[in-house]
Amino acid sequence: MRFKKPGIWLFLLMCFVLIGSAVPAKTKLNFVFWLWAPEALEGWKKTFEGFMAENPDVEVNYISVPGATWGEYLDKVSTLIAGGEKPDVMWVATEGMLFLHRKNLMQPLDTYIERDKAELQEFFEDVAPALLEAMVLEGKTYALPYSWNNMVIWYNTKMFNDLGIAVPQEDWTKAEFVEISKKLTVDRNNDGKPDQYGFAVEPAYFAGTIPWLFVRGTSLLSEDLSKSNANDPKVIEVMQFLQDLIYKEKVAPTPGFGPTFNLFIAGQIGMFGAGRWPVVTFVQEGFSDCDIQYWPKWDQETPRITLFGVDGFPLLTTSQNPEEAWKLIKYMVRKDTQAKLIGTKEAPVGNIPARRSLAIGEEMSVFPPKNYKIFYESLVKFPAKPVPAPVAFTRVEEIWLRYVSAILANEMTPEEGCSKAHEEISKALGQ
Amino acid sequence: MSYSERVLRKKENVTGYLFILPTLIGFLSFVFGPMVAAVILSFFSWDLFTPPKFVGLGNYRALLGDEHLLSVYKNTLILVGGVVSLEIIGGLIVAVLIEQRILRSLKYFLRTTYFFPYVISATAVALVWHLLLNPDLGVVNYYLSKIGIDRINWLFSTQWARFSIILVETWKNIGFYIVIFLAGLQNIPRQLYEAAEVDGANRVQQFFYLTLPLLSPTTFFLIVVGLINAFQIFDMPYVLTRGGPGGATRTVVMYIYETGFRFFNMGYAATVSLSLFVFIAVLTFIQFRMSGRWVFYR
Amino acid sequence: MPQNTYRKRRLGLLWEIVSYFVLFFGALVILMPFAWMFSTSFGTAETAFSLPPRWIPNFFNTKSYRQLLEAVPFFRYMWNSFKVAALITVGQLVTCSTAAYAFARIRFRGRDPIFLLLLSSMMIPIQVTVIPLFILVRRVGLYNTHASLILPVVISAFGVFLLRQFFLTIPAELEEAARIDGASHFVIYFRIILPLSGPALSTLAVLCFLYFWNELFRPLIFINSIEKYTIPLGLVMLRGQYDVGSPTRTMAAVTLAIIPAVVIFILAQRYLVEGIAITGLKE
Repeated sequence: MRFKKPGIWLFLLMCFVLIGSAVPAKTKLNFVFWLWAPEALEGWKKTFEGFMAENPDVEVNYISVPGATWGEYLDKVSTLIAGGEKPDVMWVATEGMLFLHRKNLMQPLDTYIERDKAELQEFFEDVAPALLEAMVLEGKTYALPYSWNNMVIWYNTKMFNDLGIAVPQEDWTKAEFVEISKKLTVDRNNDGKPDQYGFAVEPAYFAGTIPWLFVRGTSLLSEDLSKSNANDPKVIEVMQFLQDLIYKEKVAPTPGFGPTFNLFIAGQIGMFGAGRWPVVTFVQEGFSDCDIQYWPKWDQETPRITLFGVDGFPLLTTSQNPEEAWKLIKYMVRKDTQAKLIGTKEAPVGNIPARRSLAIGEEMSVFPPKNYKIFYESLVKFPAKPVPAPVAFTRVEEIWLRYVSAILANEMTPEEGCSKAHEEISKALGQ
Repeated sequence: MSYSERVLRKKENVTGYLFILPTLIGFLSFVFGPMVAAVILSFFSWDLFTPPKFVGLGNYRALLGDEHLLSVYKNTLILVGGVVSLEIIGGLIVAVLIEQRILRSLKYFLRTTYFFPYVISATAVALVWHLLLNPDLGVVNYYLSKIGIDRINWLFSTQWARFSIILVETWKNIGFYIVIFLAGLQNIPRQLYEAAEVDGANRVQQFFYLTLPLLSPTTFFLIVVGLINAFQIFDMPYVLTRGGPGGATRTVVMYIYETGFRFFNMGYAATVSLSLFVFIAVLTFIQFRMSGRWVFYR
Repeated sequence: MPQNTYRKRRLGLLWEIVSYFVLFFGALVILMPFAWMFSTSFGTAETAFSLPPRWIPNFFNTKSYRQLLEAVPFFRYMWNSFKVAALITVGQLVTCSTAAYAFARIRFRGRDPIFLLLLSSMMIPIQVTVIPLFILVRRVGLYNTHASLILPVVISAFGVFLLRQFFLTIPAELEEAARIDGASHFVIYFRIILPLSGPALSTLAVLCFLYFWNELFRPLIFINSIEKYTIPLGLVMLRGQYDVGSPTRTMAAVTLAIIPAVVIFILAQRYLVEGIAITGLKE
């Protein structure tokens, strides 16, 4: 048969090659993000589909990385990159910025921002300055804020009603906070053990101890994050206060009481501290007897300082396609994209959109808490500082939490715990 | 050797090596090679993002001055000692009880039941016990309070957290020990017991002077294997207590994992892992040496 | 004399009662967590921690299971675990049986020192090799793949040890007869040894499969994306942010996760138990 002639095959092969090269290959963007709960995946998929619909020549290859905290996620992503993966864009929060910066993994975005200034103007006007500044390192911008969270006190309105306690007001102090907690702690069956507690102390970094340090006017590290401040008397004072809540005032259960949100719903805990993320659990369980208030001031004189953590999408130096990656980054800060952060009844979201218009908008009122405007107002009404996260954040967090859990388990005095933590953290920062 | 014999011998050699080739290659690439690499790595400081830096004995010096590591070793020794002792003593007692004049089907049922947790993943086990041992809401403290024991702070106080790990590990693995002890017990001929009975020995004496010595090879095997395995316990503390509270249940293995994959200090992690290996090797060697004194082979 | 036997018999009875009590109490302690896990998986957020605990599950409340399966690709995890464990098991069966045969029946130079070396490698903790392995895997571009989990353990010193013990018990006369008929080692291995080794191979297969089905440490290091997760990783992830995961959902996940192990246990329990017993004995 004629087909046996090699010439024909060569001709066909050349045709295939020509046709193949004529079809433009899709640019692939590797996108890494934190999947803090499996339910969140759907929302991300829709966002990518929206982007790909507008940019048909780009394909988003998304890599979802789980973890219990931002710190864990950061560990896993670092391992991913260390393992040879070359993402173009990744989702990162304050906790990881310095680390990525020091390892030269992020590209400055200033030239891109300058170039597309007109397009981004309305975005910059719609975001609180504190959030934007948190993404600037050494004078260069490395990410645009996407979502964020701060720390507020959630309280169970039904429990307050039942016990006839007045809800906390904006300028409430620590003393009032303790008073309220005592009223909320009730031992109904008189067996010596409270059946409900006033407040749950969380042995956590962002979600437990740092907010208290901030309202006391101090912090775990020095302002420039280069030195430990753990042995500051104010820090010790705060830790003593937290320890006393559990063992002296007995208004808080010992850590490990159980899943805080579920117990809050069940009426066994009256107040707890968190950002907007409990909304996810509350919507899933159909619970809405709750509201929020600012973190209590330490006393009338000490000014309140808001703690927040913001996240965004830096452009990584490992990116092979920076132009397309920049398009994706711009897409993520668009109003319609960020609007998804409000969430839906089927897929609730626990972050706060970076855009003010969305964060205080009417759409948010569909979900608890009723007082949701407080979230954004805390950024502008009071001085706001991002969570202290040095380059060795993971290490520092691990050290601090180790001593915090020992203190809160009443196995160490705050003096001892804080001074030991100070030693270890200093060493970790010196490396 | 004649010519044909030599040819045959050569053929045997070649065939032999062909048969063990996959295992040999695998062993060299995935066990022996990495081990050598670990030694080399221990002389460097490497965070995987920036190029490795030669530090000579720096890691070793850091190892000797690492207080945190010292406390981690202490934790590990407590865990290991507790786990292995409980497993062996508990396993032996249960095996002896089962082996006695108990109905065959009952024996079978009991052996199967005790062995069951062994096949379940440590992760699954830890997740369940994490809830059961909850100090305020857990089932364990509930029943303990019924018999008058005060609330035990299982997973959140240093000593009880360690004890929790020891208990749950033992609970999970005891079946393994029971099964092996049972096999060992069944291997002891009945006549020996009958003879001892005739000589006037009671049950207790029979146990101490007959059963135990004859079981000593089995016991020795279980101690060696048990220790080697106990030093590598990772899943349980990782899931049950996350190394807490205050790092009280952080084992050497967890420390290695964190140093390497959370703090990205690969060189130091390799160094610590080598220290673990040396520790286990020396311990095993000591056991073998001491075995001459108490292990009795028939 | 009668006095003595009477007392002896009374003590004997007491002893038996105590033994039965201890044994059954122990068995209860062993089984209780599983019963609680199972019944809690059918509970709700309020009843999960109710005391006294509800032991009888309310089979109609499958909400936790539904929530779990909607939120988490659990069956994907199961498939991944199965894939990894099965491939490793097959690999080990092949490499260990061939090596064990050689160590048992072929006289080749260096056999005994190599075997001793292999045996002593059982003492090397995985932590020593895992760090260089990670670097190797990353260099070869196999990070975050199942291959990185499967390849390094396709061989096993323990497997070789176990099978060799067994092969040594096969009467040499069988082989000699075959040898006289001109059979090569490979033929002897394939036609004589393997068919006779059903029990030992089954034991190794079951032990191996279960071990890797349950493994957490290496997947924790080498696998990083949800689609490739194995069951232990999936379970760990359920603990949720700040440990606030739903207890009923977690228990549902654990129940599903252990079903395969339970099934294998029921079916192959004889091999498991007897195989382990043999390991202990031959030492």
